[in-house]
Amino acid sequence: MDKVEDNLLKNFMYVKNQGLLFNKTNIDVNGKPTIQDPDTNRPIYIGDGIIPQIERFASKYGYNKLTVQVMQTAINMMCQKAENPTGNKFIFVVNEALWNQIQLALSEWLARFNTCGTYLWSKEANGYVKVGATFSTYEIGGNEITFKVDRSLSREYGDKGYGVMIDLTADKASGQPAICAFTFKGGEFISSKYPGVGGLDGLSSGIVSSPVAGSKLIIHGYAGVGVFSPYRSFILFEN
Amino acid sequence: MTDGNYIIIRSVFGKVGQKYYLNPARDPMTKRFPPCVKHVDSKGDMILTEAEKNSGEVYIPEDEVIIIEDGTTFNLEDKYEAARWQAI
Repeated sequence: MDKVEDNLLKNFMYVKNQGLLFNKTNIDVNGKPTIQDPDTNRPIYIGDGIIPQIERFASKYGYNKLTVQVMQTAINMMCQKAENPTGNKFIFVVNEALWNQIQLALSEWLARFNTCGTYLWSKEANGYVKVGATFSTYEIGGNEITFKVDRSLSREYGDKGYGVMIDLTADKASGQPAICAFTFKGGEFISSKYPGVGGLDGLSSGIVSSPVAGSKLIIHGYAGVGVFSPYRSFILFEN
Repeated sequence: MTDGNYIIIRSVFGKVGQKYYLNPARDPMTKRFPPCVKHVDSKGDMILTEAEKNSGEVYIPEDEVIIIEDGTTFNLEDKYEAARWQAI
């Protein structure tokens, strides 16, 4: 794959992922989309992404300083909606600001106990002292939350902490997953090349699609996402 | 929505049982808490001067969790509720 094609593919995947996460629907009360292709007047439908879908039902916590008590409130709320009071494992997808705040909060919390010092510092072979650790999970009362940092949330929410917790357990009765992605059969990813005079490398003879000495690469695809248990979610944000 | 001296909170998503847990918020411009919000010490007690303790005013600790949902009402005639409203 050449560099242009590689860049185009990365860009396509980035836009697709951002869209599936943040998109707001453009469909009005009559079921019609508000935008059309200007050339063909073909309607362009955009559905809600994951965050707008869960925002309507999720409990939310606006904190001014992240502490372990904030995490416990999040666990309590999620457990109330879960099938079992213990044994739940929740994943918190957080932006970089919240990730750093979590590290600081858990480090401060751990420092209050007489733990083995290697959690907080260790001596390296060259005599230097390494301070700090990476904290990824917090467990209390048989329930745990694991933190995953995701830069796409940082691009949207900047330097304020933001995180989303979603219970990904499938429906016990129907087996339906908590989140489903949709597409048309074979329409998830369609890559097309539009060669001009000189072909794709600029020097080849053969059949071309344009009289211009330049080529085009086009990737398009159809994708949508449905959250089937949006009420089993929690949003944490810094106010 | 303001109705006389009452503030009634309505959720844009309707009565879906959403709860918002809010700590007192800093002013985005000054980065300072409202005057009724006070810092807490390591035990979670508010740090107040003697004058503040004897003033009869209501103060809200900075780590207070204020829960609001559709229909939550703050009576601004009530000192305690007015302070909570000012805090968020």
